[in-house]
Amino acid sequence: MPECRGLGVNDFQHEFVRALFDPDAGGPLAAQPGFQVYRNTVMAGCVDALQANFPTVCEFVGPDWFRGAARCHVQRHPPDQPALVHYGKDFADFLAGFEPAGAMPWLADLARADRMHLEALFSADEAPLPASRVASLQPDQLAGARLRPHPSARWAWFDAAPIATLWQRHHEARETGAGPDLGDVLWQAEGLLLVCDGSAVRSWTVGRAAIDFLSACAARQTLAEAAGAALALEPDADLAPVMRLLLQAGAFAGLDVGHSRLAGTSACAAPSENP
Amino acid sequence: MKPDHAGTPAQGPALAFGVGLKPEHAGHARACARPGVWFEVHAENYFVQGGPRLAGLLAVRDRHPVSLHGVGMSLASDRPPKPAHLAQWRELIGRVQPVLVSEHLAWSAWRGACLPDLLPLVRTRHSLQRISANIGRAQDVLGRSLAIENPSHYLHLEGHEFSEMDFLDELARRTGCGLLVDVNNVFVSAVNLGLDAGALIDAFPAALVREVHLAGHSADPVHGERLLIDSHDAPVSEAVLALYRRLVRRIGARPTLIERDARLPPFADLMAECDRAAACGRVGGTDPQPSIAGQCPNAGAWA
Repeated sequence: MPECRGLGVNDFQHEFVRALFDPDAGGPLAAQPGFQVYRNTVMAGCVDALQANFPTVCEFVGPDWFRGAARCHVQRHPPDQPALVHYGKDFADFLAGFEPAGAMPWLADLARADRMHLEALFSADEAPLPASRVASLQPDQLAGARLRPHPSARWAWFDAAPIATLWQRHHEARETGAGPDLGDVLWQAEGLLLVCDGSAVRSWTVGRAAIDFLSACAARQTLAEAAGAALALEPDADLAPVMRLLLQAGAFAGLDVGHSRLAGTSACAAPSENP
Repeated sequence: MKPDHAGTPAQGPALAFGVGLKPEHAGHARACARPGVWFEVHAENYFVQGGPRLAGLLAVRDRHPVSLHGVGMSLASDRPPKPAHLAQWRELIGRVQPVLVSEHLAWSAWRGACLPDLLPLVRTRHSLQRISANIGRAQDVLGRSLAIENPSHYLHLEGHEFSEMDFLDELARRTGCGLLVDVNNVFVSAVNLGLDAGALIDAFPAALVREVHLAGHSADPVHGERLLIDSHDAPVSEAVLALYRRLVRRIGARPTLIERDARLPPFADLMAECDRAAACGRVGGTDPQPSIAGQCPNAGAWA
């Protein structure tokens, strides 16, 4: 029988946790067959959560490789909150430095895309800003107006691989139950935009200008400043279709024209529908 | 210490047999017309700001009673429940307006790390004091009384100063919490620790039991039937149903949940599990209905 008598709660729980993560731990707790049940349950709970939260990564590398990598991650970064739907905020960075993933330098970015999806899926609900709100701006209001990204909007530029296309093909294949067709994927840099419309997360492959425009809006820059940011790296970009796409995607939830703030649901003068 | 939790909705609809709700079954659950049916979710899976999963739960909640079951409050920790965790609980309770709120007699947090399991404790006067304080703290923040569940046991621990039942009884006396009897956990623990499952089930005081859980277990792949695992991946075993029959004949009907967390079957199979459990209150021996009608506020659900 284990000698727990006289141990304080701290000591007992400390011993317990130490033995959970040390497969070679001895002592009265770890010596009992039942202790392995706790080890298995704790590890499986964490690994299952990572597998659920990073499905595209898992599909790319296969469940065996994934679960092996996930176990290493759990040892270094156990969950810091009981809500495992949010577990894995460090997983992409972990994969970036994970030696066995060295031959797959794009794997960390794929994990970032999965993480973006998770964040979009669980973010606050809000009506998207109708395109007509922007169209209704007076010319003298336009340059100084600020667009507020939708709470669920997530975007990123991926320099090293066509992460947006790869992620989208896998995501669509998962929905339909078919295998992803990656035959015609061009190996190029891409931007990924995700927005949740309340029932599902929608995705778009976007260019650099859209990504930089969104980032500038998120930093509370004015439309004039955001347009400048969008053109900084892509001077030839046509911002009109970029704006149209972002508005159609529901990527914004609010519009601030200086003194008055027009939310997506606010009542304002009937605008023209054509931005 | 013992608060008056007037916020507990005792006037809710009569609860009969419920099932653990998985997002895959949200549509079936919403459309389910079974009398007295209710659903339970792990609260932490809905600690989100919004989105379709939460919307699906609220859509079910519009049609049926929903119970919130926690797995991460870590009431047997040596520290109080995290304020941020309780704040998320409180927000979800506000959104869902659950008919029941429950947690476990266990711990799962250690120095910032969260261990997704229900870890065991040594039942001493000291731990009784600490856990009472933690339950009291949680109930105060949540504005709801908790039903505390007996977890499955896998280890012989020395140093217990209380039986589990005496410990739970004392927690209830000190904090006003109720109990959630997990019959499968009683069975699994009895096998694993060499205890008498019938005696354990007979020890739960009728007045404290607010809810019952039924689930399937599995044999350990290495040690076989000597070491059972509370796996929630199979139908409820006949042995567990027999214990359940023994419980309801003694204490009367209680809201009873079929839990299934892995190898999820079609929704209809879970309804069939409810039928199996319901039959335990009807078949053989004396008919429990009259005594239930006299004792249990939810007796109508059994009729």
